[in-house]
Parts: sequence; C-alpha cells; structure tokens
Amino acid sequence: MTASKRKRTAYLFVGPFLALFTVFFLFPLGYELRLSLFRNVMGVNSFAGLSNYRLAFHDAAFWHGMARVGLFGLLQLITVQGLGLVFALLLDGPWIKAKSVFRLIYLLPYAVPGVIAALMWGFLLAPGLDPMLKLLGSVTGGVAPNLLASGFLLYVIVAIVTWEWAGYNMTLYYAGLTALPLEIYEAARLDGCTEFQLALRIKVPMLQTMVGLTVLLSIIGALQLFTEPYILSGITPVSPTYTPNLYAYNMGFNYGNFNYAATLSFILAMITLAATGGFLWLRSQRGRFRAS
Amino acid sequence: MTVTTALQRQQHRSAVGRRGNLAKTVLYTIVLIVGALYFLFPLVWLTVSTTKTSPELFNSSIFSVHGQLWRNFRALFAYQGGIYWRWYLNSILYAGVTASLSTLVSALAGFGLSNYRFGLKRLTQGMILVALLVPGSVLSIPLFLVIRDMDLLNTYPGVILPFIGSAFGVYFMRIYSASAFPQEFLDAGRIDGASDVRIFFQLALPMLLPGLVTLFLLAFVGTWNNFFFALLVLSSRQLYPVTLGLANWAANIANPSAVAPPPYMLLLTGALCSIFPLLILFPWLRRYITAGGLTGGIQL
Repeated sequence: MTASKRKRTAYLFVGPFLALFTVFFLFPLGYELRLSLFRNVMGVNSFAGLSNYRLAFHDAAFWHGMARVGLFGLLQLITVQGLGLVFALLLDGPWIKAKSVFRLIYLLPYAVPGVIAALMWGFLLAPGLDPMLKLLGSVTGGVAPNLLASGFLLYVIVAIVTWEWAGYNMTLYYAGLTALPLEIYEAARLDGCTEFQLALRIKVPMLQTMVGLTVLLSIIGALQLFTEPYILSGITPVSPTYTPNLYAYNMGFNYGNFNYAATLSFILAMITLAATGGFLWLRSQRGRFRAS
Repeated sequence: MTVTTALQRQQHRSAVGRRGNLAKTVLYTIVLIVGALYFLFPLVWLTVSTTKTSPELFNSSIFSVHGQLWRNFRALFAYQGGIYWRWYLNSILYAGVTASLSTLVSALAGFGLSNYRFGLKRLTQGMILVALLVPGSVLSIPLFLVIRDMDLLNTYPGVILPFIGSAFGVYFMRIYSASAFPQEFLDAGRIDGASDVRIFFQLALPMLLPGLVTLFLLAFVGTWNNFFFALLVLSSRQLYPVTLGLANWAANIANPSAVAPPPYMLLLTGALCSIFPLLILFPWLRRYITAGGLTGGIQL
C-alpha cells in the first residue's frame, strides 16, 4: 500500500471523530468567542469589542462566584482526595478485616446520579422537611439549625460532593496500591520501616500519577460546579450568581443575554485551562527537577 | 509494572498481620465504620422513606419502616399517564445510544491515531488535550445555539449528537490501542492481504474489547447522570431523562406558595428507582472502571 493511500485510510478512521469534534467542540468554541465580542440591542447584533470583558472584569458577583468555586475546589481536594487516600491506605494496611464490605459500601454512591444525591441531601437538611434536623433540634433544645442557610451552603455542597466521589477515588487509589509490586514492601520492612512510614514514604509517592489525575479531574469538576446548587435552589434560596456556571446559565437562559453569558463562560474556560494546564506544567517541572 | 496475584497478596498479608496491633485495628475499623455510615445513611433513609405515606414521612421517626412501598410504586407508575417510566426509557435510550456510538467513534479514532501518520495528527492530539482540560459545560451556550440552528432543539438527536465525539474517549482508546494492539499486528494482517478496515473490525476490535467495555460503561454512567445539557435542550416533558424529570418535580419543593404540594412520595420513589440501572451494572463498573483509571493514570 502506498503512503498516500495509508493516509487516506487514516482519515477514514479518524474522520468521524474529527467531524463531530469540529461541529460540537471547535465551532462552538469559536462561536462563543465571537458572541462575547458582540452586543445585542433590541434584537440587533453589533460589534462591541472587549466591552463585555470590561464589564465582566468589574462584575463583583462573577468574581465572588469564582472565589467561591476556588474555595470549594480546595475544600473538596481535602475531603474527596484526602479522605479517599486515607481510606485506601487504611484498607491496604494489615489492620482491617472485611475489606470487601467496606469497599462495596464506599463505592455505592457512585451509582447515584448527582441530581439524586443533591435531592436526597437537600431533603435531609431542608428546614421544614428535615428528618435529620429534627434529631439535631431535639439535642439542641427545640430550634433546629438551618444548615442550608447561605453561610453553610458551601459546606453542605462539599459534604454532598464528598459523599458522591470520595469512595470512587478510594477505589481508584486502592486499585493503584494493589498494582504495586510486593518486593518494595519487603525491602522496606527489612529496613525496619513501620506501617505508617511505609504508607507515607512509599505508598503515597507511588500513587502520585493516579492522585495527579484525580486532582486534575477534581479541579475541572469544581470550577464547573452547577448541578448541586441548581437542585438545592428548589429547596433553599441560592443566589443566581452562586457559581460562575450558574451565573452564565441564568444570564443566558433566564435573562436572555447570550452575549454576556458567553463572555462569562469563555472567561471560565480560560481560567480552567490555566488552572489545569498550570497543574500539569508544575508536575512536569517537578519531575524534571527530580530527575536532574 | 508487575501485578501480583491475589493469592500472593493474601499470603503476604497474613505474614505481616502480626505487625498490626489490636488498638490500631479497633481504631481504624471505627474510622471506616463511621465512613460507611456516612455513605449508607442517605440511601437507607431513601429506601425506608419509600415505605411511607407523605404525612408519615414528616411525622414518623426517620428509620421506622411502614407498609406503603407497593402503593408508592403503583402511584409512580400511574402518575400523569406513567410519565416517569417514559423518562426511564428515555434515560436508557440516551445512555445506551450515546455510549455505543461514542465508543465506536473513539475506537476508530484511537486506532487511527496510534497506527498511522497523517497531516493533522499532531494538531488533532493537541486539540484533544485542550478539550480534556476544559469542562464541556463552558461551551453549553454556543452548543445550545448550534443545536437550535440545526433545528434539533427538543429532539432525541439534540441530546445525543454533541456527546458522541468524546475527546476523553479518543485519548483513552489511543493509549489502550497502542498497548493492546501493537503495530506489528496491523503489519502482519496486511501481509496476509487483509484491508486495514477489515483488520480493524475482525482483528483489532476483539483485542480491544476490555477497553471498549470500560469506555462504554464510563460513557453510560456519564450520560445517565447528565443533566445540564438536557436541561437546556429539552422543553417537552415527554423527552426528559429521569434526572431532569425528577429535578422538575423537585423544583418547588420548599415553595410554600406553590399551587399543589409537591409529590414528595413520587419524588422519593422515583429517586430510588433511578439508582437501579447503575446498581445492576455495579459489578462491571467496579471491575472496568478501576482498570480504566489505571490506564489513564499511567499516561497523563
């Protein structure tokens, strides 16, 4: 077969993906950028230059939302990745019986759609519905605390997301630990390494690619937070600008301003790309530093 | 990486078992039990709640089991001409079709990228990486407009088409194909006179099967849980997936000025039922998704 014929065959394989990717990713990406440079006044589109971006830059609600998902991302890193890692290390150590029971239970929330998880927790915590808060109320003497009040809401969402993903991460980490060669452990033990040192000095570093991958997914997930606050807004008042994604959604679909909504989305995309790209770059730098 | 067998690990465990002392065993077991209660609590509450009537839900203690389960199921079946089951079938359709097609497209492209050189190869791989690093939902506004201009708003293809060309799927299959179907196999097939397309379908696909199953399951779960885009594209209740339908019922749950009280029991029974399909897939999810995590994690 000639080289040019091979190339044609290659496009036969890659073509369907490239076509779909162009129509449903590249084109919308360009379209979003274009939308963000226009303004719609009384149904007439006119070029607006960077004025939407100037507006967004001074839009305090947008940056509050951004700071909120940033904080959310950090907390989630501690609870989802941190707890996942702790659970995996505990299960991998010599202490625990009935490991498979714990592993099964911890992964169960993975079968629950995010919408349903948010609904259940919303139900459990909503004042007025509150089966759980009644319990709390009887402890504190009458008045149940409102955990969905605006000051607490973010932590409730962290708890929901932790419930959804900690077990999944534990499962991945545990599988990673199981794939490590035993010889390393033997050698470490012969050198008098305790279980704790073993976990910290050997198991955690060996898991770092896997942890890195889940952290990356976690950053992306945190910045696009939408489903949980959206669902909870049916149960408790949630600001329409609570997260950048929620803000863009409301701006586009409730206020009909697609141009400004596209601007907010595009900024969010660039910030996410900077965060994830920066994370990957940092990791590669560290790898290079170690190697040299 | 050497993978040790389960038996070896077991022997190893019992050999080191002596090292774990009792106090630690008790402490760590308690920690894990607390974790287990956290993960189980909402699910147990949900299951118990579906055995109650709406007044019982608010006036009985949380974990008292009542006898209304069957009644709630029947009510869910009958409500608004069985709309819930329509949603259920929609969800299965969306998840099944999206997962099948995106797995096929990803396998084709992954195979192509790992076995051929062509002009757009580097560019394609670069774009895939960028797409991986950006959440899909940031494109939902232009994507909505594209779907609208294609006249696909409020149709089945409108929810399915945008998710078939998956950057993650191609990225995953490229890595998987490179390890499970080395280039030499393609060369050998060519020497035997088979066309590349035939080699792909008859030789490569069977060898890529575990990867295909992983990808199918990931896409199935992803679509089953998808909510955001369906919310934008679908306006007719007949086309809703389960997630969107339930969110719709829940929208006014705590609104005291709502005309009728929200259908609490339908909502909770519906929520419980929406978990079943993924629970049925659970044994496969466990096996294949950890395998998928390992493959993806090694490369990135």
